[in-house]
Amino acid sequence: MSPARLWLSIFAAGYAIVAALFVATLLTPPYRGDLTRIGQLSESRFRARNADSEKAREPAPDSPLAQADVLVVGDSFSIERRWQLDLTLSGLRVAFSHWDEIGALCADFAERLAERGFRGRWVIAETIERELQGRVQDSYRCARMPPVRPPPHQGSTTGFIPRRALLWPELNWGETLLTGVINEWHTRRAARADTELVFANTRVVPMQHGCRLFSHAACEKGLFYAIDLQRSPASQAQLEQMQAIAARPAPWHLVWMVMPDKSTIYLAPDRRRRVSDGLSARCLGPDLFAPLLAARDTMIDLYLPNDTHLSPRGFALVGGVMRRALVEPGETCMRRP
Amino acid sequence: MLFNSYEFIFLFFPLVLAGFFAIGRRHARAAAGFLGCASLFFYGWWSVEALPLLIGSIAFNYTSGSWLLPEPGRNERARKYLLMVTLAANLTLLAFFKYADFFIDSLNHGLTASGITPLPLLHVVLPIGISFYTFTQIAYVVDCWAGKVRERRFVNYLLFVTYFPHLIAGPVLHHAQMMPQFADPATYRPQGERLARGLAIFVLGLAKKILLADPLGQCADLVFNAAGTGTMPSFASAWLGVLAYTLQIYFDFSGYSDMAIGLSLCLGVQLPLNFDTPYRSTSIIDFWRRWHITLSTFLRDYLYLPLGGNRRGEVRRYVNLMLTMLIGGLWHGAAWTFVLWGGLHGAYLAVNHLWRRWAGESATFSAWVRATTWLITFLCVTLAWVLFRASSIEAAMTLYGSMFGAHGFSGAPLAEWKVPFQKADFYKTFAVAALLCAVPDSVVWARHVPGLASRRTVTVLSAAALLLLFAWCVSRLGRHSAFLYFQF
Repeated sequence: MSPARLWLSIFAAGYAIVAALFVATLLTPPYRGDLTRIGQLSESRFRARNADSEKAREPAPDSPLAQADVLVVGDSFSIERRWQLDLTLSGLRVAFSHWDEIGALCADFAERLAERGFRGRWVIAETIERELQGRVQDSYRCARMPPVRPPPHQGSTTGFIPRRALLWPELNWGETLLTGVINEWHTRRAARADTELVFANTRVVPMQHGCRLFSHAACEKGLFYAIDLQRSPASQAQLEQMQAIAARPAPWHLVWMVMPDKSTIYLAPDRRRRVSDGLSARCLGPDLFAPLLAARDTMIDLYLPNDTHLSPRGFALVGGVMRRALVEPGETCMRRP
Repeated sequence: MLFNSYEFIFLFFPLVLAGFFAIGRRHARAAAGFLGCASLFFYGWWSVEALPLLIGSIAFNYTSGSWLLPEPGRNERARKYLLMVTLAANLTLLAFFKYADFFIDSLNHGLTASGITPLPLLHVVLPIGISFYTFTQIAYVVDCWAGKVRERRFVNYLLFVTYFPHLIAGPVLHHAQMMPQFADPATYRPQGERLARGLAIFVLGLAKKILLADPLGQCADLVFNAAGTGTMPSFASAWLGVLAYTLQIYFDFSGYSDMAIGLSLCLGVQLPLNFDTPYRSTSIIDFWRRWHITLSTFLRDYLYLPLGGNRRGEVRRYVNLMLTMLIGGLWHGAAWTFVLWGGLHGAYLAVNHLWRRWAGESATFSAWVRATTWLITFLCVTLAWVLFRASSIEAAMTLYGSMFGAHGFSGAPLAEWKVPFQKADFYKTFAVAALLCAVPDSVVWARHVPGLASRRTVTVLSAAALLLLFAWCVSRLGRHSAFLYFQF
């Protein structure tokens, strides 16, 4: 065999293996949930089968800041403006700003907001439970607002849709080479396991009554974000800081909105007690823990099985709570501007 | 379709390679046609909307080229007028698509200052690769007029312009290098040695892009984007960001060029060298002989020399140099930052020529002096990259301010941001990239791939090593990562 032929034979053999790995990835259903993506677990096994669970909720119309009645400072639970729909249906105009854009609610937040033209009545500080501690501390400690950062999900690739994704949308073009093989391996391990497993930050937890709570094919196993229970639950000091932030002088009322972690609702409901009681007792904002816990056993897929976020039905429930807190007099003890 | 994409690596290129040689075995002309069509498909994948413009430009320039040839009975004056019309048409097309909004915007500054209503911008979409295919065709029609064109079959011309390895981002090819190769029947027969060497060069280029340029770009983006939004980075962050960009642009563009050269070699066509360890240059003159060599050669042959080069006295020489570099800067993009970048390099070159005149062309220097001249050259090039990358002159000035300590010298690098990457990994990549700037380019390494074959063990090891490198690179695909030079 000539040297060049030998070189090419070795390279071609390796290329064939790499190509086979690529085909395995291409044929792996694209991830839709953040937990399946993080843990590289089969979407077909962990995606909700109940058609209603994934039926998209119409996003609320976004209002310019200067015309808004409500400004929501929030995270991924608010970015798609699902729960805000209930507010807009009540006639409120709602603007949105991501925590990543504004950084924190510093002491001069009201001043900066007025400069940007906000004349509304409410600012809702929405945060997922696991990020509450950091966001409250940052907001409590800082005196001056940092410069506004570009909003998330607006990198240089925004709007770039590769032609391949348009031509063959059912194929998985957006993952790395080993995804197909790893996905298969993780899914098989998860199916066989009798005890809890962790893949990256996705916990696979065996659940005795899982099929009553979720509709996915592998419903005897639930997916949860490992970081949820690694953070300590809200402390008394944090609640005091939240109160101090809410008491800062402003022409609008600050409403804290703490979105419960999926793990808190399904695995460790006792963690909610202090923050849940504190929000109500201190009139900081509506308690979302109690209604979500109450709905957990009756509403299948309250949270999406493959995701850390609520299902559209879960968002509707949260939206209803928020609407009542803001527009129905006497519903909560919150001060009304 | 990017060279570093699944669809290119696993579908387009293997199919084109197999089809090209399968057809070429029976009919060379048909294989050239197939490659031309594949190239048009490649371009259409990027932008179907821009395809008619490319085809129209090819048809127009090829026809003009035929009429421009110095054949018996042709009127010299008419030929000259036709050349001017052809050049004007090409430049107008480029000016409209690439520079219209830039000119209008610049004019609007003046109009606004004078209290006149500004003109509306056209918002023309830039057809991808227009600078490259316009320049290569300008060279062709000029050479037709000068009677230097020998090979001029249409299928070879079509292939020369559309040839997919270079179509989008160069190298800037010359018809005299390419068309004879397309006319050579040997090109259409597969040769193991060329294929092996081509694949090796491609893999090395892919590694430069994916393993070095992309991670370096994360840091550069962070610092330049911050400057673009008016945030002043610390002294250390500014230098780190600018140095990261200095390395990124080299590994990105030379990586792309290597991939183009490697792919072309697999198809039996040799492309010219585009980079030759430019950051080892000990003068700016030397730098421009090593950086984007095909563009420098084009600008020299079709701009600097026609302007008179150094034949009309010293002053004209410097004026010509400056003009060439200003236009070279503007070629890279429709913004004043690019013009200033070109102007800065023009000034560097003028100073360098004056120094040479003063010190003597053949002066020899000690190792210390050479080290100093290397450092000065590298710093000059690095400082100029700030203008090249910055989103505006204001952003560039913010960064220059930070780099020269206008905002103090304190602060650890990147301490002011929550960085979206592992700092330790970034520093490792940075160190490897800095070391690799000193070693010969991929094309030089790959020359040894078939040569190594004299020893079987080395052949097996080199194939296995490049295969692993290939697998490593492919394992990092799956996210969008365009080449920097696509925008030019």
